[in-house]
Amino acid sequence: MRTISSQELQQSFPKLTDNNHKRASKATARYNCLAFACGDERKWWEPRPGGRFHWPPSVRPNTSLATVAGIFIADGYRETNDRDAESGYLKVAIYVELDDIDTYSHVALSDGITWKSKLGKGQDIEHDSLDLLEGETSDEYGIVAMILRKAIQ
Amino acid sequence: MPLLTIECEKEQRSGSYAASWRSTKKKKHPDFTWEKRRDAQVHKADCASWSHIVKQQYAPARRSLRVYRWYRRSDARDTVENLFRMYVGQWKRDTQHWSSVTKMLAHRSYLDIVGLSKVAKPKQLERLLLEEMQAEPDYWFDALEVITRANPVQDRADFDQAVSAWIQWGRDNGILARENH
Repeated sequence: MRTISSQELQQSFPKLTDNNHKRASKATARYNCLAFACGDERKWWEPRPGGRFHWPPSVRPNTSLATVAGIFIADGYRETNDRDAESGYLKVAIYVELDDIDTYSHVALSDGITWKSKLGKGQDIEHDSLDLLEGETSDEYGIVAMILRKAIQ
Repeated sequence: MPLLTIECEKEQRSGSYAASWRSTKKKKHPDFTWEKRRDAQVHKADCASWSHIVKQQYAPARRSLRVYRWYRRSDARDTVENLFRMYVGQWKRDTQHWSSVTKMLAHRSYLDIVGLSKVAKPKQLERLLLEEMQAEPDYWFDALEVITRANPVQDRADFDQAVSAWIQWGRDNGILARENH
């Protein structure tokens, strides 16, 4: 995949500027945001047949908000309202689009310092806050519907 | 074709063409069977010249038809390739930040690319897709599977292995050039 420039990225996500985000990897179609949030950079997490996809065997084969949240809850995450990166906690934020609020559109991960996102087939970025990817224009991911956290062990 | 008829009539009136053709024919292609049957000579020469004149009359039209067919063929080839590039660009732009392959494969441009197989020349679309896969690996597996009705990818293959399997399939089937070692 072609790693797109900062200018091109800002066309897709108008709230991103050079000061509030930075690129963290090259673009690749190997894994998606959900895989990235689960710590897997080899497979695309989606309930589809084929070795290039992965879906936890005990989880229902759909990408609804409830199902995706269930993956993290099963891993020890619990719901929170705090939208900031929090020292000592891993956090995930699940986005949904307003025209399809039952299906997740994106998952962002916080390592306790900053928020990180794998942008579809594009690159990983580090971004200052969750609202930078929120919105309904261009490629923006809608709104954050749920935030979950678990203590870093 | 009035112009051709006029040309033909001119030649018939002058009579020079038939005569020159007969002499050329005799020199270059001696017809030994005919030489033995001189009594039929007049009739054969007339028929031959008439046949030649008729052919000549249609020659420009046939040339035009050949050019038209060639033009249509090259036009179709260019169109498929141009449409392919346009759909690929559109699909990549629209889906580059999506998290769902299922949604990507249902994108209009992806379906349009598969639809090009109806108008593309044999193996043309396969070549374009495999070249695209080589340049920028992406989820072209399903399109290739539908178009070629082949699946060289093993069930457990990951993304990179799937890309390699298709590239190898392209080489084995003469669609892609083999690597030079």
